[in-house]
Amino acid sequence: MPEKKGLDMDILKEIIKIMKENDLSEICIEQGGLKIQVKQGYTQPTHAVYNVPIQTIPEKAHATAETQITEDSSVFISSPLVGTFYESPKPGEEPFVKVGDSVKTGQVICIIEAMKIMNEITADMDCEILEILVKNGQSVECEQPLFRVRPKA
Amino acid sequence: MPFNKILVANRGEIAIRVMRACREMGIRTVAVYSTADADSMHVKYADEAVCIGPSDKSKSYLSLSNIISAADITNAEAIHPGTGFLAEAPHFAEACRDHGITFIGPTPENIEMMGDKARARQVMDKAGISPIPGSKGILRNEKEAIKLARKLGYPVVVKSAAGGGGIGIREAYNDAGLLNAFQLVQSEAKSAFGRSEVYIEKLIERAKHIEFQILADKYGNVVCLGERDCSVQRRKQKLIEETPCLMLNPKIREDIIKSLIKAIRNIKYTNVGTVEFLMDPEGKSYFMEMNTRIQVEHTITEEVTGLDLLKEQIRLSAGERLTLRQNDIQLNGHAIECRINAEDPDKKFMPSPGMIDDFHAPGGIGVRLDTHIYRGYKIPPFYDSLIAKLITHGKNRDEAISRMKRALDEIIISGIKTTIPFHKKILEDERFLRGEVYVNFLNSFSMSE
Repeated sequence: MPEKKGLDMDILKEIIKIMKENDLSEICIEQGGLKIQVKQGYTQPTHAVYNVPIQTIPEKAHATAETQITEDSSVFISSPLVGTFYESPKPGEEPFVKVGDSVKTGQVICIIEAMKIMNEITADMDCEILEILVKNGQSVECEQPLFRVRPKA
Repeated sequence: MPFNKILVANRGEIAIRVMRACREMGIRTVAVYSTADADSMHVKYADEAVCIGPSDKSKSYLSLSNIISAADITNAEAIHPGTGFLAEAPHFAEACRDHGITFIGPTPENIEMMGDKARARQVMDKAGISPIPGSKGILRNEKEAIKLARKLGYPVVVKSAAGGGGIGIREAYNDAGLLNAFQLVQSEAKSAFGRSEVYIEKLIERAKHIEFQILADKYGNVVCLGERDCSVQRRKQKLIEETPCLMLNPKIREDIIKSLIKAIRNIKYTNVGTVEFLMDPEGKSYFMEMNTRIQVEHTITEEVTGLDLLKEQIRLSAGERLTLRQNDIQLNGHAIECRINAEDPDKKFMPSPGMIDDFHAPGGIGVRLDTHIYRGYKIPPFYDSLIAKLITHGKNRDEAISRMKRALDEIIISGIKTTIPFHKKILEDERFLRGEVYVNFLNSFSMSE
């Protein structure tokens, strides 16, 4: 908005007064190369907050986690895809696995939600859970380690 | 011009589709987006864009207050909900009405009436459209379900009244299976929709999914733009749609259209809508449900009718009269749509979000691509896997199919896995070529065959 250059503040005040009286939200005046643009501040209306049911498709695809070997005898189980990590089948329910649990090949260890699909992630070996490396609801990248585990012979 | 500015409360290809119609009509557009969609095509395409929240859709694309505030601050006169998200939420349509914003779609009452699937069956039955044989309204308990199932004869399907998107549907082949299905559907529906009411229908084996496109104004004028055959489905998700349906007898088509027009007028439904039927092998069709929005597969109807359904919908929402009459509707040739999803068909359709390294669009006569992807675009993992709709139109089905095969060979999408190889395989399948595809077809279809 031009501030000087022959602009009469009284005229501007008059324009704003007119705008307010007429409940205008925007005005643009051009006169001899001079352009005045005025915008009235919007007031954010208050709205009730509604609870909307989330439209998820509980279709279950199965994926096997990939494992990576570490220096000690433990290995990492990594996410086979990008998405959101869930430790339990439904919010508020018991997690699939806890630290210290022994899991069998094919056992579901977590869910990665991607593109509205709940992908059940299964262990690809018999092992013991040593550490859970991500938090419930956290976004994970493809091949990001999810669990540190000790394989069973 | 019916409106000066429309806010599109959606993302992806459907947001672009709506904005394209607006641009041709001289209507300015407002995009809304989550922080995960800042680089999305619909944000770039719109005249204005407003960020409405984080990647979590419940705090952005499903947030009524954020979307209506965005419409207020941009002075949008109308909101188009697209497909999915809030498109079939009666409380959203109502909130728009309360704020003096036009909801581009049917009335909240229309949405509510059809949103309760058990009630929709009763409403349509009363209006002269026979539903799939089954319960009249909600079933009170398992006892009632077993009594009715024995009368109908097994197998039956247990469905959630609040259902949608293929959730809360289970088949039962005997009393024990029914008890189990009844409880499972109740709990699934409770967790997905917050309502546990169920009803049952007789299972129609070897059924085709056919649906009829409706346009209706608020002055009682209704036209039907023919049917779409959406029998190629995977777990109730449509993958390929075509029009017309090869197996639909012209006499039966005419009868359905006639009775549908009467019924839609009768129930005072307005705007665009799709009435879905299951057709048994004898050609008898039964009402399944009605979708109270523009659908993903509206494109093939546009190809054979030459009409722009989004423009029609916007005009209807502005209160204009339908200028079309049923006799004006000409269906030309055959159209097919393949839904290209970011999924890996070799790994049980596992989602495959990520960066599009390379993209080349197919072209030439009779080829249409509705998409929001571009080279270097990173598909976020938070939303629907649909990334492109490839549509071909030919003078007959053979031409539409050969054109689709050509287009599938031309298109390049690399960096992620897509359903393109799946579509190529289906288009070679003998049963598909004969038009003998039923809704359970993919159970007996293998990618490695």
